[in-house]
Amino acid sequence: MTRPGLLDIAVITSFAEADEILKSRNFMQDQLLEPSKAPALQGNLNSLHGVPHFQRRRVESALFRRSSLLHFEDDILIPELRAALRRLAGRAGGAGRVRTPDLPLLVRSALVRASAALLGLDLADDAAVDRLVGYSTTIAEGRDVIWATRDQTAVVNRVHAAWKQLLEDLYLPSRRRRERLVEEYAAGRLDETELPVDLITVLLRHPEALSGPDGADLIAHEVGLFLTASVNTTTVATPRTIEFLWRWLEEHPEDRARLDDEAFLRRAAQEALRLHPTVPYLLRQATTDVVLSTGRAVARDELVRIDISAANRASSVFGADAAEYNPHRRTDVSRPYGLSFGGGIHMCIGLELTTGVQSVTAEERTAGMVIRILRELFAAGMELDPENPVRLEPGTTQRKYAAFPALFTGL
Amino acid sequence: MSGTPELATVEVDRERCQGTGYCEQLAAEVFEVADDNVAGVVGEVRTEEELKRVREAEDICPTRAIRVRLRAPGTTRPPA
Repeated sequence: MTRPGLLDIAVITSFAEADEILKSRNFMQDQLLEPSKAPALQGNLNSLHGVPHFQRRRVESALFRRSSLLHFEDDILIPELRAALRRLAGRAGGAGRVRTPDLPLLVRSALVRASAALLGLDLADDAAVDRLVGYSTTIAEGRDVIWATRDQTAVVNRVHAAWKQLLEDLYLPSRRRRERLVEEYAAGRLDETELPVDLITVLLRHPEALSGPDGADLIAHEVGLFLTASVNTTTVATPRTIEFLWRWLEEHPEDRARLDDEAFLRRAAQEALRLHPTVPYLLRQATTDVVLSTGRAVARDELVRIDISAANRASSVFGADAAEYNPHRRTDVSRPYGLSFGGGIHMCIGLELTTGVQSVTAEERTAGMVIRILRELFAAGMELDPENPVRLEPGTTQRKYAAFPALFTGL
Repeated sequence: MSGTPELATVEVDRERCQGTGYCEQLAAEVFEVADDNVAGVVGEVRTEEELKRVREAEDICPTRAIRVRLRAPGTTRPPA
């Protein structure tokens, strides 16, 4: 069952119209998911507008400074990914070709550690990591449930249960520890440098940025949003890039020499994101009568559904072959990923965490988590398993994988 | 404030700009989002406080559309 009226909402497929709407101050964010179906959406960054949104965004942007991004990549993500690959090699007993039946799971466990550091969730041991992997996987089903073509009730119930467990198991203990630290700092018994730099701590230190429904634990809601955005979107984006890049390499084997080229891998990831955005639709509501530059009229309070995937295939923007995957695509547009990270004030705050800081000067650049993961996996000799091909999951309109096996020849 | 040293030059890449207005909210004396939803530079950076806010604007911009370059000490603009 889909949200009532969702399919009746006007769909925007034009890149120009979508871009204009996302940037426009005459449209507000709306949620695709009903609050009852997905836990804790109310009061999070995505649902705010105007001054409350800016206040929250300003505070949280401190987490995405270059030094923090490098810390997540260098000190957490890559060591954890390498450890996971070593464990995989160990289980194979030194065999030349090592198989994994579930590449996204291997990636997810590394991402979970990096995400936990960003969020401020303390993970005491590997068992806690495994539990967070489980919680994040189940909660991700909640974000995707609206696209399910099967009964959603069972999914929603599982999501609610996983959310409750996440709060009790990891969030509340982590929050209490940070509350004590912030109190110690406020009392002058702790230096600021001893405070963690993570989402929970930042929001505890800036309660003025927490506007939203009374009685709601807005920090928990923000943790839920960031957990989904940081772990699940990257976990989805990485195998999609691999799938499309692998097919490209089968037809263009000369590009295998580029698999350690960061710029090439970035373009490969951006092309995959362009064609298959991890968030396929965005809803916006007009706050006043609007006439777009194209002449389309949108009445006040009218909802529009932006089809990101369709908009990203505009030949006027991406070329005559816009519907095809091409990691060598050259366009004049400054966003080769199209609208896959949204636009306007709600443009994804984690854009640079995912695909890197692309500043003018080389010393200011970072690779981004997807690109770092790809480099590590290809350096380990990753290939798709010809005996066990990738399978898509039925029962959803999204491109999700039921199975994503992979081979490693360089472990 | 002709003759007062300008601490930094500020540029906005119109193609990258998403019109979020974060820069305008942080430093309205330097940035303004026009009717076409693209930010422009409308003032100069002449105090350390303004420089701090402009730097924050550069950092918070989701598409890195803002570029702040410190000027060499003692550099001034000619009077209008």
